[in-house]
Amino acid sequence: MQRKKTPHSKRKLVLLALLVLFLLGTGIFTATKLHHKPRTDQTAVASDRPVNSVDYSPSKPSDNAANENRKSSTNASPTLDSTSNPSSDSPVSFSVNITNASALNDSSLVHVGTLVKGTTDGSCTLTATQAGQSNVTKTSSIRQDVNYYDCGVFNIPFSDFPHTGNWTITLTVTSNGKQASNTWPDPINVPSN
Amino acid sequence: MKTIINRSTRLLRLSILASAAVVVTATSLLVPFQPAAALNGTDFSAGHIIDDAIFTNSNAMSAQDIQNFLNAKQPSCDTSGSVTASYWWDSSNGYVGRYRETDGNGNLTYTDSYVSTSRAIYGQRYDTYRNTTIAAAPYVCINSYVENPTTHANNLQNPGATISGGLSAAQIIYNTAQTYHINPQVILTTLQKEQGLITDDWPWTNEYSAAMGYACPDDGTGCHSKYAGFFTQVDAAAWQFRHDLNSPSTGNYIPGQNNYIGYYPCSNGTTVYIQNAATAVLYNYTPYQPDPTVIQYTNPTGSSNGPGAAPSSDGCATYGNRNFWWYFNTWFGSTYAFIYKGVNYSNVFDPVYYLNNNPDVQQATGGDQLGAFDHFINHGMSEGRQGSANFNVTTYRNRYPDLRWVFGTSLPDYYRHFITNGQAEGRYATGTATLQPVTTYGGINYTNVYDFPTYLANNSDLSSKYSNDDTGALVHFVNYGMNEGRQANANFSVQSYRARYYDLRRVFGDNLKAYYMHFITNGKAESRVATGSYVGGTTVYKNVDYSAVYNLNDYEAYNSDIQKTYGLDDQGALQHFVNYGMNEGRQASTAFNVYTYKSRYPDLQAAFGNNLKAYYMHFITNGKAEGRSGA
Repeated sequence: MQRKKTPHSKRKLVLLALLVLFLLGTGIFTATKLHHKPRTDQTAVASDRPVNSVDYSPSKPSDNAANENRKSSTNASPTLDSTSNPSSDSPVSFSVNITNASALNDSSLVHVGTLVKGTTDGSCTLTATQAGQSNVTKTSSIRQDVNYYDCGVFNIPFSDFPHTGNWTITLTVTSNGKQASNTWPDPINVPSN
Repeated sequence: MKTIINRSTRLLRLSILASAAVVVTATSLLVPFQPAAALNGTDFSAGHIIDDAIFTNSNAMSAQDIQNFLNAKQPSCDTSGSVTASYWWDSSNGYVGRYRETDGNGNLTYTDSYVSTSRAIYGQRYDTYRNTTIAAAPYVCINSYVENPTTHANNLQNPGATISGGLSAAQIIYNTAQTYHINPQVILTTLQKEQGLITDDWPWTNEYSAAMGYACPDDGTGCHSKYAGFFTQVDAAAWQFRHDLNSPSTGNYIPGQNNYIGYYPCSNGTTVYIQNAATAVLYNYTPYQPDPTVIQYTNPTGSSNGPGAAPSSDGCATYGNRNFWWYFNTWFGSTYAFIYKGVNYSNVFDPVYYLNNNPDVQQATGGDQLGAFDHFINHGMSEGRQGSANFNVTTYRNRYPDLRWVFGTSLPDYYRHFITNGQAEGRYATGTATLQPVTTYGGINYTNVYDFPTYLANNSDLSSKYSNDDTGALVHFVNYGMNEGRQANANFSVQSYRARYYDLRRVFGDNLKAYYMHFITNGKAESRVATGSYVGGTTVYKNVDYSAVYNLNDYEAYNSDIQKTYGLDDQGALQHFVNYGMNEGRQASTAFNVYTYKSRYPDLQAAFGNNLKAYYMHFITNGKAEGRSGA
């Protein structure tokens, strides 16, 4: 015989339903709180900054792909820094770049940075020109910088320039009887001392 | 005794179990690791790879943190080389790798085959073929590497050896970071960028010899033997980083200037404005930038596919600085220090500028850039401090009233708006801009009845609250000030306006705001006047001006019943005066007392007798003009 639902049992069911809802709410709240638990940063002072959130997960196969390629190569490059096999595409001829030319007013210097690719030996001539003025010339040799070759950094005092105003900077490298040159696109304004 | 579980109890237990299950499920759905938002290749900024504050954060990890990190990245080091390696090998001559020969007709011939052996055997064959001693087992992973920094004795040939005076790689990295004040994470990332040493589970000895790629030119001339060895590499590279940070003009690439940065190995490149010293340091170390194809094929940071590579057809593919950026972001979070709650404050916060221009912050933080940023976030913005030469919040706020309507006096919101929208919209925050207080609200221009300085000057209770809040003051005026009859313009007094115009009073009564609005929409154009002292209400009735003997103030002052009955109803009061007051001899002006007037002039007594109203009317029509007095 089917049991009739009494008002008393209905009340129990309602109470049970409320209890279930309460527990559900508590569970979701707890889960949310856990989810939003702030990361324990070691030095970050402004919270929520994704700095120093160290990834302690294991390395992935893809992390070693470059190394695996290098180890299987018969001409392994010394580093993974650039291409996996740079020598295969190395330029036949050498090139020279002025990496930076600027007037450093704080130190009263014209700064010229350089980069040489494709040769490790040769001479460098830096020439600053201005119409109607005698050239300013500095020389150096190709040298090994930390991880590349260059002509060194030229820091030329303003006082070496016979006249203020715009000067055009050109670097010429001679190596194995060949020459390459590069001119910085913008004239450098040498102010008065 | 058997426990009887009734239906309710069963239901209760079931519901608890169900709830617990839901909780567990919800927790498992919500809690899983949420990586930081991934960056794409286009997020790589060639002129701003890493902030100085991050680059020099030497306390980012302790030695134990570093060891834990290395252990995590090396879950299964293949020390003995037992994992299978597959490769091309020619057993007849020992060549490793596909060796190409040509026959007499110039056709390529191959005598090798693709084989699988252990890594250890592959390493032996490689060394034999190449005449090297770098590839043979054992393989010491970086988390187990030990070296004496002085003698350089290490455990590469004998992983279990005790090295007298030996330090772990983690300790070497930590010590070096402290010595040169460089972030150890920068060293870890460089080790990976140059040799993949952090993740390599069977590293060859040459990876330790050239661990940081220091003195290893890319032109194929090999690494300088003077700098071979793990400790030497780490020490030399960190020294170089510090040197270049301290002496930027000695580098080929300098911060705060345009620099030409090439790709590699091709000869192309672009001009890049290097924004900060640490980015210049990276280029002085590795003088190349990723070309657009590499950027295009860069995987999102954290991708299980690694950083990604350009197709082999790309002759300008270079990865060094891209990989540095990718691994740092993947492993250690942003390379930008000045990010807070997902917003990058670099456009409005320059730590050097902030420290130089705020001596109190300099003193409190000891010049620490992260500390300065913390101050900027928690205090500086709210105080309106300028964080960079490019952004003055006062200028920005004064210049753009549309922003003041949105942000009011919440200064940090102006900084954030500039970052997220303003700059892209072409707004600027330099120079000076005088605040032009707003006078229009809800499409209505309140200029005729309101100006910001007058409103504050006339209402001392508002002056401090709204001293720098023109929009808030106008809103207050519109919502409260007009109803309260506050004066906000020297040319408009609502009391004066109301008192002057009976027609308006009859329509608007005590609704003061309606008078302001009428003046704006009609009154001003009708040349109505809203200034001057309170004039005592209307004095004209049926074309007769009773002002010589009457004004509302005095009539109500002398006659309390009138004040009680008519209040601000000046027309009613005047009608009463005309119809009754004069006959009753009531005084309605300090300038005229009917009894004084009557007693002073016998000729008038003879003419008017006790008709009091006649005396008032005479004074109005003749007496005053004749110089008679009723005072």
